[in-house]
Parts: sequence; structure tokens; C-alpha cells
Amino acid sequence: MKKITSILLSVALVLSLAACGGDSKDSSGDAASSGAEAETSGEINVYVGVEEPLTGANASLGTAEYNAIELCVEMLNEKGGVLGQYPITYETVDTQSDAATGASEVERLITTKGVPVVIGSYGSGIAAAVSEVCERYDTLLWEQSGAADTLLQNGYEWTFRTESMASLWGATSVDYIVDQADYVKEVLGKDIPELKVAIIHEDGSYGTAVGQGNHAAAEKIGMDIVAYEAYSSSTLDLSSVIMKLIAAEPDILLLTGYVNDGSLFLKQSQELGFKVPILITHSGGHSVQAFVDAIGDQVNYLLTVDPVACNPKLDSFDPELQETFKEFEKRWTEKYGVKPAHHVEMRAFAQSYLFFTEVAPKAIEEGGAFTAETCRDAILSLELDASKNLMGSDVKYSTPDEPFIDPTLGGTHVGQNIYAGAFINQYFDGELYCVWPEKYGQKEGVLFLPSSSTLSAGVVD
Amino acid sequence: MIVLQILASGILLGGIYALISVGLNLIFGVIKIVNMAHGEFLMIGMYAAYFIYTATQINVGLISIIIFPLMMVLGYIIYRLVIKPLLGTAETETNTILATSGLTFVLQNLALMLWTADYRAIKTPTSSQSFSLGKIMLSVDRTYAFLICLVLVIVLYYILMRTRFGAKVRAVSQDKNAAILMGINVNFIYALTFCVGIALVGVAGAIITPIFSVYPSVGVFFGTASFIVVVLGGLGSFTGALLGGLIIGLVETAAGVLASAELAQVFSLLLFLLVLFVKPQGLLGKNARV
Repeated sequence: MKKITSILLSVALVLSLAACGGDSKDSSGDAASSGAEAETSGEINVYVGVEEPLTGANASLGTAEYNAIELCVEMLNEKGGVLGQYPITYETVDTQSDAATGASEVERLITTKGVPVVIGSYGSGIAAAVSEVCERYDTLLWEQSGAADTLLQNGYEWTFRTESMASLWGATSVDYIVDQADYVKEVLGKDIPELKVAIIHEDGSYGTAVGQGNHAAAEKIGMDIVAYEAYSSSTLDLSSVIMKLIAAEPDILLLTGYVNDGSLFLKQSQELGFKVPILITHSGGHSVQAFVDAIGDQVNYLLTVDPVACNPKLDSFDPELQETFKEFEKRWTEKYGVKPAHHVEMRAFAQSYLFFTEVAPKAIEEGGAFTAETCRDAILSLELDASKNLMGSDVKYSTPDEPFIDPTLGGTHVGQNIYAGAFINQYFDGELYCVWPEKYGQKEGVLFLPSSSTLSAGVVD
Repeated sequence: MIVLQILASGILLGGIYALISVGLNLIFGVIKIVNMAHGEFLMIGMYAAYFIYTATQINVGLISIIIFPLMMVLGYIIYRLVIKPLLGTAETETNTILATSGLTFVLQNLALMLWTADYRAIKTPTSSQSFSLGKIMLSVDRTYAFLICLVLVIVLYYILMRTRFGAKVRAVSQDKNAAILMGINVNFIYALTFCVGIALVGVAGAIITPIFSVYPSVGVFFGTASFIVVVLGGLGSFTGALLGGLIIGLVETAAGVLASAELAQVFSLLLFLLVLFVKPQGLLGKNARV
């Protein structure tokens, strides 16, 4: 009996560890030939690595991103692939929501599979570790969601990010309030510098960067910062933070967290009777379906700042891109039974689509091959207007010679899309819609929490 | 006023910590094994509560009554397959730690395969509701969890200290060989204790499901918290676990208000280290072991 049990346990352990670590797959279902082989044979092989957290704490959002990349490749391959003639193949690794695992898995992808390009990473911590590996092996990292400011501050030459960095999200929420200054004066009877603002964020690299952006922007225009507090996202209790907020009586709360702590904050705020006139959250866990499920109707009228416009006005995009947008929504809904969440799935799709329809063709046409070098050259010479980018921003990447100086915190960034913007989205009937800037706004924003909201201070009906 | 609110919030948080630790403590106190997969059993209890509530919308208290026997069955299967073969081996403690550590991977990945990585949450009529006691606001769900914890500790204490069956359990806990000589069926006591320990953590999972989201790796956070609480209070001591939970809850809440929420856990861990340094067996570890 003992022997049988030991064998069963060993098998179970091996299976579970295998499920955690070695999840590699090729989009076509065939064994993928390595990039090195392709280079030797001289044929053009659009072959990339995809790294996402498919297990562990970030598995939910990592899987969603992975599914979006998969659908993007599927849609493009149906039309022949890149330039209509080079089918895209990819190899997947599971970073297990862990930076060290992500780094070793990506290193394995590069050294044993020869991928010239890596796409990922979901979390900023994982992105930082993977970025270092890619730099060591001269492999291109096309980062789609690691938003922490610090990611591109090392001067690395092989990491590129299309979306905006987290501190800009923090600054954008303040910009939005400033844009509404007359209305704020009308309702609260206060000018912008008289407003009391509280900044609360989780203490990881992402939350800290957003909080710093909030703080710098609020300080710049002279707002009265009555609370500036970080907390651990793994906390089981936020009552201490909320007690401080009740004592501080802010006019505005700028909040940044993930799904669990974000929903815990709102639940406990209601329990402890915290009220606030204006509440703006920042992407992360606030813009995903699990957050909506956790807090139910309380989500309505909540404002979030995201690097992508959710349910945007489509007429500012190229007609072909509008069709692509609709096609992705349709196919995702058919495949998964729910509409894609724009903050996660559309964001991942938009950036993958940009890579395979703008960067990869340019690399092949101008460099004659699909390699890390030709892709990097293509990125560095790429200039697009916002109508060609589903993320809604013009595109041009900073270089080591011309780094991007972040206007909020003053950091120096290499590989950043210098025009990347942030957007104010708002929940209506449980779904996010862009409300600002007006170019993409589907609906008119509701700045003050209405009386139907449980956290409403009752300054408007 | 704020002092009273800190006390109230800290005690309720401590109740959650103590509630999730009861099962871990029972298993260690009697069988002397450290169940590293404790958090994962909590996760299974949370999933069970989620699915039952979604299907029936019945009260979480009733759900925990349904979950108790289901988790006992699961506990028995795990006991027969994983724990029992390792009892009595040369390195029982090390082997069971390794085996239950392996079990965490198995259960987490099983949950991932069966239920995907999505975060799931239930919204009950008491979700986010509170009541006031003077000017102090108390969360309904957290108060409920605290009361359940108190009831569980009292019932377990009564059974172990005031019944004939409890005397047998204590005898096994104190000296297994002497208990065998007295005609006590040690294997039965071990199996039952393990099953009840797993059932208790399942109930804890059900009770906290209206407060926290459930996902495959949720047990990692709770598992770590449970170990800190029971080691602080004294491995194997129910009253120690309750005390440990309350101390951690109060320190975290007070530190969060008076210093910084970011440092709240640092303060509680510092206290934990201090207690271990002064009294390595935990606050009530020596005197109150079952």
C-alpha cells in the first residue's frame, strides 16, 4: 500500500509540476522549427515566443492576454499571416506569475528554441526580469502590459512598450479633474488648489508608479494632499486605511489596486461608512470582470484610468482597423461566450496586432528577414498616427540617443512609445465605456459619485 | 473613538485569522503533522461554497453545514492515500511535510484545470453590510466569522476537555503507545481528527467566501497567515490560536492606523519573531496542548 501510494504521489507531483512549468505549444500544432534553423536555411519564418502567467496568482489575466494573442495570430494566419504570405508560429511558456520563473523560462525559449522576439508579460515584475534576459541575448521583448515606469529606465535596447507607463495613468486622473474645474467649482464650491485629495495604492511597482504619478500631478497644481498611503495587495484587511480616510475627509480619492484588494477596499469602505464625492481608480484590478463580479452594482459610475479606451468611438480609426476591432469582438464573444474586456483582452490584441501588421512587415520588407535585429530596426523607424493603432495613440519609440523624458516624474526611458496616452473609462451597467478624452468618448462622464452609489457623499443626485 | 474602532476592526480581523487556523491546529495537536496544504483545503471549501451559493442562493451558514461532511470525505481520502502510509515511518514529520507540500501543487493545479484561473466572488444579502455599536461600525460578515470561530473553539474545547472521547484524543496526543496499551484505537482517532481538521478548514472557507474572492492560488495567502497564527499562539493549542489570531489582527490594524498600512504586516511579523525568540513554543504552546 505504501509503495503504491508513493508511486501515485510521485506521478501526481510530476504531473502537476509539468502542468506548471513546461507548457509549450505551437500555434499550428506542429513541432515548430527553431529560429536558428530558419536563419540557416534562409527562409523567412515569423516565429515568436509568448510568455504569460498561465498559473499562479495572475493566471486569470495572463490567460486572458494569452487567449487574445492566440486569436490575433489565428485571425492573421487565416489571411496568410504577415504580408499575407508568412504564417505566424509561436512557442508558449508559463511564467507561473513569478519573475524568476519567467526569466528562466524565457531564457530557455531563447537558447533552445531560438525565438528572436518575445511577447508578454502581464506583470511589471515579470517584465523586468524577462527584459534583463532579452537584453543579455539580444532578443526583442515586445512588452504589452508591464506598465511600471522603472521597466524602461535601465537603458536597455531590446525592450519596447507601446502603451503608456503607470505614472502617466496617475497624472491623467488629475488632468481629468482639472479639465472639469468649472463643474467641480459649481458643485463643491472649491477651486482646484482647494481640493483635498487622498492617494491610496498597492505597494508593488505598478501601484507605486501610479501613486507617484497622482502625487506629482496633484502637487504640481497645488491640491491639498491629505492622505498618501500604500498597502500590500495581499492584505486581508484595509480598515486601517479607511479609518484614516474617514478622518481626512477628502474631496477626491485616487485609488490603485488589483482585483482582491480593490474589491476588499470598496466592500470595507461601505461597511465602515466612508463617503467621497469623487473616486477615480486606476486600471489593474479595477477594470476587469472579476472586479465587477466581486462588487456587483457598486461598480457603476466608477471611473478608471486605463492605457486603452474601452468601447471607444470607432470613427477615429482607419476603416480597416474598425472592421478588425469588430471582428475581434465578434470572434471572442463566439469563442468564449462573453464580450472581451477591453482593458485586458483588447489591449493585448491591439498591441499584438500592431506588431504583426506594422513591425513584422516592415522588418521583412526593409531587412529581408524576421530577426530580432530587423524587428528592432523596424520599430525604431516606425511612425504611425493614432488611427492605425487600436491603443488610440500615435506611435514613435524612444531610442538610447533620444530617450523619452517622462513629463510627470522626469524619468528617462528607452523603448517607450513617446505618444502613448491614458484614457478615462467609466462603468455603466457593469461595462466600461471611454468618457475622456472626447475624441474616443462614447458616453458623457459622470464625475461625482451619484446618490445611487454606496460611497456617494451626496453632492449630486 | 478611533481607538475603539481599531479594537473592533482588529478583533474581527483576528477572528478571521483564528477561524482559518483551527483545523491546522487540531491536526498538528493530535497527529503531530504539519499540513502544508492547509490553504489549499481552504480554497476547496471556498470553491464549494461559491458553487453551492451560486446554484441555491442559500445562507452561507447552511452551506457550511453541507460542506462539513463533504470535506470530511475528502479529508478521509487524503488521509488514506497520503497521510496514513507515512505515519510510523522513520521520518514521519519530514515525510508528511514533503507530501503535503506536494499536495499543494496537485490541488492548486487541479483547481486550475477544473475551474480555470478566473476570480470568483459571491454577493450575499449581507455583503458589505454593517451595523453600528454606538459609533463603532462592525461588518456583518466579519462579525459572523468571528462568532463562528468562537463557537468552534468552544465546542472543540468542550469535546476535547469534557468528554470521554476527548480524553481518548488527548491520550493519543500525549502518548500514542500508552494509548494503544489502554485499548484506544489510535488509527481511528488519527483518521477522525484529520477528517474533522479538513472539514473545519472547509467551513472556514465557506464562511469567508462572501468577504474574499476565490481563485486557485488563494490558499497561499491564507495558508501562510494560518501558520503564523498557530505558531504564535502555540502549535496544537486552540485557545493559543484564538489568542494568536486576535493579537495579529489587533497589531496589524493598530499599526495600519498609527504607522502605515504598508508596514502593518511588518509589525505583526516582528512581534511574531519576538515571541518566538522569547517563547519558541508559542504563547500557550506548552500548557494548553490538547
